Amino acid sequence: MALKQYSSSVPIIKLSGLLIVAFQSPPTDTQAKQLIDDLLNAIVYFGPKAIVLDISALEVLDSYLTRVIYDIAKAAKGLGTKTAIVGMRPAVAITLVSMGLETLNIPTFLSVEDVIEDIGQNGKKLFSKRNAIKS
Amino acid sequence: MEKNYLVRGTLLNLKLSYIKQTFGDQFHKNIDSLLREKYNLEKIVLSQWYEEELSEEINKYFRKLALVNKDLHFKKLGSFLADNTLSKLSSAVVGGFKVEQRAKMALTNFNILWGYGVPTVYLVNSSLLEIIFPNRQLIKEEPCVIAGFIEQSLSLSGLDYPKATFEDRSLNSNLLFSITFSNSHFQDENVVSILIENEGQIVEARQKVKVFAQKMGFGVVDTTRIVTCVSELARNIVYYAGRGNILIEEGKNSKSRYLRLKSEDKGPGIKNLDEIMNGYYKSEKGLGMGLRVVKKLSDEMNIHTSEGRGTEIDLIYYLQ
Repeated sequence: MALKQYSSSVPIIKLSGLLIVAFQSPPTDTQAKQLIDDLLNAIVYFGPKAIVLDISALEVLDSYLTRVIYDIAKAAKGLGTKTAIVGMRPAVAITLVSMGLETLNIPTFLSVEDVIEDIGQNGKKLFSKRNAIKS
Repeated sequence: MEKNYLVRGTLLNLKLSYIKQTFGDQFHKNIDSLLREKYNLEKIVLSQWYEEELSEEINKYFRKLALVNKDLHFKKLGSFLADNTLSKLSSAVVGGFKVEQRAKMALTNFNILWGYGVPTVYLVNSSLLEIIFPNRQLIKEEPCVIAGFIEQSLSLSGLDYPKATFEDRSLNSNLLFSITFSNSHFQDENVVSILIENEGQIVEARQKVKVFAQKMGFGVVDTTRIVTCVSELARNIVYYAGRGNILIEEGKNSKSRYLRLKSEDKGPGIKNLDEIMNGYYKSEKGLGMGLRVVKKLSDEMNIHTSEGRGTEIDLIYYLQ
């Protein structure tokens, strides 16, 4: 099934019952708003098992981007959908630790494949033990 | 008649840091105590960083320094009238060809302003120029007209996107124009200056600092650390000040080589700095911890902020 035309510049891909948000470059303010809007519509439309934020193309995760990611996860949680992060770069991970944000409160995986595997094992209890977004 | 030279805090700050670099700590201490005695300053980190009126004596001293060292890139450039100062300015600031031609054009334009007294020109850094007219009374036109005029002249002389703002000096009848400009051709490889006005330029700043840090020999992790900080600083400029400047500079002290980041803006200043640094602040657009993150990620951090006048943030990263 082809995705509807979304206006945000960040691609949203449907794969194995997941919605994958593949960040290409850090979104600007307006792009981020548009992305959240589009993503929530897509969640309602497809009812995915989870959304996966692929941040492998992001060289830097500053406090603004972290906020964007939190916002997405919280909004998705409002629709009963869980969020996972994949593809964090090693340098970004270390920087997050120095920033004091090592516990992002969003489950992280090495790759999309790992997320799919996790879903296969746990069925509906999708990474439930690891997921703890505080609202 | 006693002449007072108005030197902006920023300039003095840069000069002092330069002195420190060049002559070592001891020399710096002399200047330090000299200034402290003269002006009853508590700290020389310029608690009064915005305005600093220096006496002839100290100014002479600084001028000597500027003469002694030719590659002082924020040297006092003297007046437009003096010999070929403007072409010096142009060659200092503008790379590429046709520099002289541009300078001549700009000089012709400035002819008209000569009636207002000899303006003093400071090249504060690679993206900030200050022109001070000594006598406000002589100037008949509105300052904004002159500001436009200066912008036009300087863009002819080869500066990219000059933008002039002016300040009335009721205390000492000076009329000061600060001109910020971006300059892609700055010749000094050890200094990069980036004008930040919109979100697109945040990306540009990240790219430039990344290349700069990698060239200096920082590893991936440290580069990411530095780029994250630039990102935070640039975003603060766009959100809170609207327009500002980020300077990337390579330096060296007794310990090791270092990368210096300096963010400058003339925005509203930071009212609740303590609140922010202690983590009690909640922002609308970010996590409210941009500055705290920057502090954690940098080796040294200095903030000078003055309400309604602007903010300067100085960061140092040592190359281990």
